[in-house]
Amino acid sequence: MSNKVLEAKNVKKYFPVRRFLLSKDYVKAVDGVSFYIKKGECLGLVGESGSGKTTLGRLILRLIPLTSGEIFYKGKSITKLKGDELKEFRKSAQMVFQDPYSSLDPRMTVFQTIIEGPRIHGIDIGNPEEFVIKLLETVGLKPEHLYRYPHEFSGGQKQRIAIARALAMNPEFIVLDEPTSALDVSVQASILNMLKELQAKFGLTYLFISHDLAVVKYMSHRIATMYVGRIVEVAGSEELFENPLHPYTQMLLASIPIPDPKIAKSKPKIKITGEPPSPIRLPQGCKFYPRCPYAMPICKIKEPPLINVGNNHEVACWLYE
Amino acid sequence: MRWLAGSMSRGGCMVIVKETSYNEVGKPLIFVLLGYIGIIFLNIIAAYYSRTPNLYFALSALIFILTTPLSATISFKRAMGRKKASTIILYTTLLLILVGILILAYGIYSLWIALTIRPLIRNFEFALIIPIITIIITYFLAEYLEKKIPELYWRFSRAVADRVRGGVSAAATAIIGPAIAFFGLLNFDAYFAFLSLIYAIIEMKRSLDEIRTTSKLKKNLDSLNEHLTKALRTIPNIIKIEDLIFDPANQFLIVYSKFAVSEFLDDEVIDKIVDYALTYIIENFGIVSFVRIEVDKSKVEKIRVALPLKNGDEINEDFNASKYLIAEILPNGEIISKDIIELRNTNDKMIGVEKARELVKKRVMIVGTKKIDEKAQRELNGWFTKIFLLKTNNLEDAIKHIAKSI
Repeated sequence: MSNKVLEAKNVKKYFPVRRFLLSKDYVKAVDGVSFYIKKGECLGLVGESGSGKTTLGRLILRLIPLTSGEIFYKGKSITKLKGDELKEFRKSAQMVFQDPYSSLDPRMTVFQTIIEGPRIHGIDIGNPEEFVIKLLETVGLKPEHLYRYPHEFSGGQKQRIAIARALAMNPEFIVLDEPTSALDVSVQASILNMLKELQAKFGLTYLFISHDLAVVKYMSHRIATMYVGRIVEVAGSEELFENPLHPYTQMLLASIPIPDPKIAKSKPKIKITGEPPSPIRLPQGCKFYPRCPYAMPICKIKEPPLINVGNNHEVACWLYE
Repeated sequence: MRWLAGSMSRGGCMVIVKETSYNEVGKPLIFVLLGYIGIIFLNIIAAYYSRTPNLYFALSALIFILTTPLSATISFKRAMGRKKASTIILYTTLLLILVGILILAYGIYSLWIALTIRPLIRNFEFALIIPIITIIITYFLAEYLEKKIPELYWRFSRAVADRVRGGVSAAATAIIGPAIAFFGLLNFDAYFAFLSLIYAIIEMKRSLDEIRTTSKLKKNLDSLNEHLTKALRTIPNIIKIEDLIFDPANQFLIVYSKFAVSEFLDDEVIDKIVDYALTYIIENFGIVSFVRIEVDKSKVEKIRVALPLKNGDEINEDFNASKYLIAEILPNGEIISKDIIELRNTNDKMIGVEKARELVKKRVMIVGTKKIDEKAQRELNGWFTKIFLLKTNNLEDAIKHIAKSI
């Protein structure tokens, strides 16, 4: 229990959409999500675009307010934190955004970018230049990059700066929101390796958000699959890839291209059909029902809860109840 | 989701009936209708005392709008009493449109006098306060309706609520002219009445469109029937569709369905079938205002049984087999027809589920097997196909055993 760095309980985020005067509809971006992350662990979060992965990452860091639910950080609720307490939490929980091109201020040098956080939070860093140079070296950049502007760097280097900025706060927990999706494949590998090394070196805990399943498998100890704002399956990384239970996870895994035709032939041939439903008006029962090849009448009537099927493997599907 | 549910015995045969709940759908609807009629009365008083053409036009718009909550309520009440709703709703809608047109005509006459002879507006308190009350109350009536009616009926509640919200726009357009006239610019009351007139015409068109929707729905009844029959027939143990009635009333659809299920199904299972049918109808058939489903258990004349095969002549040790015998048998165990089918799977992890699904598609009512994995069992149970665990390897013995057990 005590080694849970982060725990989310029934977290919901509904975005209002105005219809008429004060009448509103709600986009249910995150709808009743519960999970935990242990110390030093990397939890991968996968799902299609629009499944609520990024929103969940932002909710966890309190970058956007929750509609309902509760989030615990090191056993303490952070849902209603304000002022100094919130500032303190944000010191130890950081985020690396998807797009390094827009997440860095073009008018600030690398030095200014990295030093901004510690200065705002009043962290004692000794000699600022030495501090930043050390960080740059940690993320594979050189001291001569110190006073350069973001436009002088490549995409991979920019993402390294963003990671250095997050590390500057000496965090324990980092939300990595598709940190490599905007980068070339060759650069992706080096960034991922660096993130793994940093995790081992500093004992960091990650929430790794991505729609690239291969990347998530490489990075994560456990993986959670999200579908229209809900977690439909959680399991250990190997277990999930070896034994995916939810038809949606099976579809996602089946969609990974396999270069060897012999291996490809032996893999399940389930195609992802249809589109996810509108998050404003979700169907009754299981939200995957309209796309599921194994759907049964009960799926249309009642939404399945997350069921523990053993081996720390949880799945929300009536086939396993 | 709760339903008015009940069961009764008819000629010794158990009938399960479920229908849209009056408390959950009917009551809020009637409350909104009464509230809305109250608003119309207030507007009649306001139009009479203020004499402004704006309020005549607003009143006619409110009457055109009334066609929707009234037709929704009538359709619901008639459906509960198992009476046809479409004709009475057509006449009621036409009558309301006629009344609205007469008020609209009187409004145009008042507008002409106000423009050519003298401004007619007086008693500003009526011309200003009543529209404000109309805006507030119609808005909250619409909100109340959407919140009270269960989520499953969202199309129905939204169709009525959106129309009721039109009352807000009608009152808002009608208040501009009198509000300017209040400051001494009396002619502006008539000028802005054109805005109210346009809005009233828009609402009239919407009411006429609703009538047209009925005829469109009527043209599609066959395809609706076909669609629902097909959907119900996906459940192998629904053995007979006895009655499917679609009664379109303006934009609303009333659905009555009566079907028979195999007599060997438990009541609990039948209850789930009914829930599925209800949810399916409401989610897939447009703006459904009322559904009634009757299910009775019926003697099965021909039972479709599937058995996994090994070597083509005996029962396989496991449910997952490459070949299956599909036999149609009589209740006494006599085999009428036999067919051997081959089933291939595409996903090894779901092999049993895929085979079970295929058998369901072939309308297999009973599966006999020596061993079956949990997922396949759930898939078959999920489609209400009964599973018999067998001890014998002999096909004929197995069929006899199944026939004896049901």
